[in-house]
Amino acid sequence: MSPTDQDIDRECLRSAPSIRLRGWMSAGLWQQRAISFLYAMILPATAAIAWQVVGDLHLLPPIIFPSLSKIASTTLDTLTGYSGTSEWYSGKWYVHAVASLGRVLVGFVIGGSLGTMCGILVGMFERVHKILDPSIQMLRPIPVVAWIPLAVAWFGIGNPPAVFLIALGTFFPTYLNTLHGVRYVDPILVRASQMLGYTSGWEKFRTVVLWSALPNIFTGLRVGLGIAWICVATAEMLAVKSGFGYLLWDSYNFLRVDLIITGMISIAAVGFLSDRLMLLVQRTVLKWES
Amino acid sequence: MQQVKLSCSRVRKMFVSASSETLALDETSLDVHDGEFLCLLGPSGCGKTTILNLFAGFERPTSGTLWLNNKSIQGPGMDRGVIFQEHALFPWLTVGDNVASGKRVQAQPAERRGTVVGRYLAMVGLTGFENHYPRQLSGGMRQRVAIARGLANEPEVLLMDEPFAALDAISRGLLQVELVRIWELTRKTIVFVTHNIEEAVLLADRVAIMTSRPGRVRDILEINLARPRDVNGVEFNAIEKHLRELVVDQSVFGKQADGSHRMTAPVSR
Repeated sequence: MSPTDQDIDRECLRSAPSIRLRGWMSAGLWQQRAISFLYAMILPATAAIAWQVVGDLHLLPPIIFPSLSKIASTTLDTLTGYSGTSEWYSGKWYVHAVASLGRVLVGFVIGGSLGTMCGILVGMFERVHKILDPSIQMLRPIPVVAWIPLAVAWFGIGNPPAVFLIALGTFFPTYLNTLHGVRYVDPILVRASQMLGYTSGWEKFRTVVLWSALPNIFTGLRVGLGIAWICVATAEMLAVKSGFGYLLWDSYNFLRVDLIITGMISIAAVGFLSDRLMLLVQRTVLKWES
Repeated sequence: MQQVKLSCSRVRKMFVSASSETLALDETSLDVHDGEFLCLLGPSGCGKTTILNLFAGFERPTSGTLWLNNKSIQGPGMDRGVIFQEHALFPWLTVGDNVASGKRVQAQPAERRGTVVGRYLAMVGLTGFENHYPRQLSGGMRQRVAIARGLANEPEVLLMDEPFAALDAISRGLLQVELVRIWELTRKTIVFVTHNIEEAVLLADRVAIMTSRPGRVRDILEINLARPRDVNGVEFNAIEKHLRELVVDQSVFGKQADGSHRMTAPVSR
């Protein structure tokens, strides 16, 4: 029995919605991204509206619960100095951004390079592992914040204790990830490099170990960079008179909650951008992975 | 009488762990002639990969000696190229850089390196893939690159450890044919480990049949068939049948000390 025209029509109608759906699905990646962005914005948008309403109606004391527009204008003033509402921080955003960034950069470079070097040495040489790793593991459970009093006692007030803390915070994740990467190199790749003529320890490192460990080293550096921003905020509250951490704490002392929130947003923004930059470097270096 | 390229005599290899000792190879002797294609054939666990790793210098024998050109083998070296079961390409290098990664190739000036890469990629049929990463290739293509990399470093011997076992039947068939062609072109000495009887008959000048537990070379079968060989030919099938009997005989019936045969059937409960 062959299908009648009616059968065919009915079949077409039945399959029509799925065809439409498939067309919609393939409409483009950017559409899907836009939709997930909308989903992601539901909660923040609701919170922002609620915040603004609470602030406008003075349901809570504005001194501890400033309205959203107040925070926005304060943030804008720290950036441009157009109204002077943020007092001595008016137009000084960049000064503090540079101060924090500088500390993070110096501490991160010191801690990251030390962590990478120690991870490689400990991973490559069994004897270095026996000597160094237990000590590092003993120091690791001490929270970085717990080092602050000692750091200030040793290095005084100023940049040195801040850089020390950031370097310390960066060191451990970089060390651990590098060590893992170096120790778990695929042995078949080591054999491949040996049969190609690279038989010495240095050649093994240069041709295989470094490259295999590179993704892990980058993971460690990214985690370390995140911790560096935690450390800089903490250190600046106690040891120095500049940077976003200092801005936060100083604003608390003068009960400027709008400025506190400005400081929080600023740290998040700069931290996020530095992580994106790191990711960009990672993708450029590890181009065989993408 | 052909010249001996690679040999081992009375080699034993014991693997020792905390809980057990395993004798992987027992008193094994083998001569590989210069320019020949030798297959090591045996069931899994018979120590054929162990022999290859000893020849490659990746492992040291418990006793006995291995020679290359009458010089004893002390460790890995670029006079012996190895093709592994998994391609073992460097994932961070492009196909071209992988082929050029051997120490001998690296020692040459850059423009010369380019020529070498081009020649060996053409030999394995992958011209134009220089700038791909291994990740972007199929399993068969990766294994071709591995062969090109091994050959480009100009080893005297090629040691191949079940290089086509992980491939699909079609890719395997193609690569077998191409390997014979490449071998006829370069006349490298090849030691090729396989558990595939048809593969051994198709490729080898001589097949060394191994027994398991402990591993040992039991028989050597010469295959006097003109190339290219036809897997459906009468002679081919006769040799394959004969070889199958030899292999099955030694893997199903373990030989007792008194020379009688013992059935090692699976234990049923």
